[in-house]
Amino acid sequence: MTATQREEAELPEERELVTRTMRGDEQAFGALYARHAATAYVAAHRLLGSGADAEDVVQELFLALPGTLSGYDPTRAPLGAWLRRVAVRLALMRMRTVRRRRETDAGSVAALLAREDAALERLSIESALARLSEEHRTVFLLKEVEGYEHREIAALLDISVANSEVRLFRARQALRALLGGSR
Amino acid sequence: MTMLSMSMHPSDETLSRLADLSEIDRMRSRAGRHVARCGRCRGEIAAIEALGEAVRALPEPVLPDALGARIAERRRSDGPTAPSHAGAGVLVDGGADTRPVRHWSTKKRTAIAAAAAVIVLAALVGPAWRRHVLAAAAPGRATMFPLYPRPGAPVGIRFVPAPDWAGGDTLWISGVIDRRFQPNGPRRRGAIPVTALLLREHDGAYRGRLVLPADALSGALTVMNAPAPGPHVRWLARLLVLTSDTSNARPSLDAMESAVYNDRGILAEQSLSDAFARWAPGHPMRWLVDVSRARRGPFDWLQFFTNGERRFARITTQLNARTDVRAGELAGMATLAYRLEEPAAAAAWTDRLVREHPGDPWTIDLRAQQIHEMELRGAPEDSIAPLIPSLDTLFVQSHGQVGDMYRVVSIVRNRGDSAMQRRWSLRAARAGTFFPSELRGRQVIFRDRDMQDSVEAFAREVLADGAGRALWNSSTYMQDPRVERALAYSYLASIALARQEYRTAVSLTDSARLSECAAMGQDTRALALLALGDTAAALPYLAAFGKNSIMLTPDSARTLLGSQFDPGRWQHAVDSVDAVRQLCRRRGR
Repeated sequence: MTATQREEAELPEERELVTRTMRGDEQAFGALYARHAATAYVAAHRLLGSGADAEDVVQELFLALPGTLSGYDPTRAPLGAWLRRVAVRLALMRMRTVRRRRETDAGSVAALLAREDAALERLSIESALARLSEEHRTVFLLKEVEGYEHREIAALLDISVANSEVRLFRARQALRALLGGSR
Repeated sequence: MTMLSMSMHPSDETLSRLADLSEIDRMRSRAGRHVARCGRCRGEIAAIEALGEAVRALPEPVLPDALGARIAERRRSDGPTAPSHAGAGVLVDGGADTRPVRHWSTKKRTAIAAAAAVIVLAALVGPAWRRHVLAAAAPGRATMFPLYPRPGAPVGIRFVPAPDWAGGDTLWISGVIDRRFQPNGPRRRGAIPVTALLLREHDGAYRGRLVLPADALSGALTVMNAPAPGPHVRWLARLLVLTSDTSNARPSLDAMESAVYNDRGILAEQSLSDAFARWAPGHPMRWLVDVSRARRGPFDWLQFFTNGERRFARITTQLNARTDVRAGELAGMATLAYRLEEPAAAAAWTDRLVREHPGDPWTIDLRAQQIHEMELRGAPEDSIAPLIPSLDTLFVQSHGQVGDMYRVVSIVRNRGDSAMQRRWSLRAARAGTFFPSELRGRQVIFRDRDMQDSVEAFAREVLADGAGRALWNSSTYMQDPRVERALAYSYLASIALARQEYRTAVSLTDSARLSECAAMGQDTRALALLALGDTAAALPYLAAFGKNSIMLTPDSARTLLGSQFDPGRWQHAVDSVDAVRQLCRRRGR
């Protein structure tokens, strides 16, 4: 079974889960959480740079889920992608209220140290990302990791498309300088 | 771009735009066709693409197991959840794919419509939505009394947990208090850590107290469920500390500006923005700081449409009419200008700050940012060069207070003469600001005896501090005591290497290891082992270089090892690096 076939087979079941969750079915809610919470968490964590904040975003997202699902249109996007985008929006809302932190939270430090592979290399990339200004880092992550187009980023952040392009350019330049790769 | 000659390379900005296009779309532009036949530009685009690849390749954070249980518990305690659709509407991505780009005039019209909609919305459902969000986000509420204490006075802290709270009888307060700057003090910000216990009382609330230093200005306190950072620690509440210099009725402007300078108020129950709005409404920093938790929700959406440019113009007019503008106000304007992507306006405010407040801590940081922005925009060298000496002057005038030492040293390293580079390396070393992943930076430091002594003194200070405080007064993001101690050992090892005490260097790097393949100072260990002639033992540690191995060229190794450098052994070691790195990664998994 290909990935597409698998998605198509899962689609009716997922629609059923959505309907049941909106009616307050705990099992269906649990199933949606098990399927999609991790991707929402990853998106929020990358943008916010903090495990605690990402947990808050996921909690906010899923606690409000029965209500927010009424705005979900299955013909436009798979549920997972839609939830991830909502998580991104929540993370951006949170970011507007929380200035960039200068410390890594204890949880992510522990996670970093627990990893065995190429930790120093990752430290270098992660710390370079963390050194970017919030404006530049957000655009970089939205474009390069979340895959948004500039017009979408512009709408999300209430900036112009040209501004989004300039911020991405500056983010890339700063990252290359920080990683020692500028010419 | 339309004027681009086929013989000219496109600008970096154009290459950045081309990197976002498909190969086919690239060929539609003249610049894209240039790239197709230009090796240098293809290389630049590949480097840009590699950045995205590198970030996408980072391991994904793992969703904590306990979160699902917490949400389920919350749903049970709240009963069947049916949040307001209006509140949900703020979150829902209803039309991302078709949403038109908002231009200026559209934005204004939308703002009016949005404001009206939000006011109606908020009146109808805002309180319910806000209660819901707050209930979901906070396990309790902390308060401090008095709200704006006098320096040196005792402060009471109370934490009232949520009804479903199941914590123990003790909670911990951990925080930092920013003191008024002391020119001869050991730290530029003079911040000191504070801790206190909160004990549960008969009414279920937790209470505790602490005494502020006599010269306290601002600070941040965190209520935690554990005494020290760790994987299970949870931040229960944050408090912003703003002291008063007259009575307990209002915070001083010095305290509010100090809180901004030191990044306090993050996630705090009280809002720094509210304090500015109430006590200093015309201050530009009002618009730079966070809003409170209580104002999240639909009201935050309203802020989404606020008119930054118009606000900036209004404050500009007000400040230009005054002759006694505070350094904090000028710094606020420069920072606001950067937020609005107006570097020329930011430079003008920075110039005024340099003229009127050369000794203020904001000044040197904003001068460095001005230079950095000019570098990013590719400004001509002759417009940047005259600004470089001012970094020295401002450092002296501000009594050595530098917020972002990393940025200043990077600028000096690229643009200063050798004497200036040495001065700033020494200053960075004495401030405890080191750059562990940058061998180039360490080469500068470790060639110099004064530098070695300064670094050694600071590293020993870190190791002597058993409290695990964040002593590295740098822009490093690591505040884990294990990391700090490992870094300290790695610097001591590097000093031993520079002094040709190779066996000592090897033994010090033993203490800088955090796990099998994650360790500080392993480049130093490899070099020391190579210097001792033990190539086989050196090989596994070369794997720790990661991408930074490119910095360890034969020239840099020769510089560090002097007469001990053996080109044959070196080449053999380098040839083995990739294989060992792969082995280390596989073993790690």
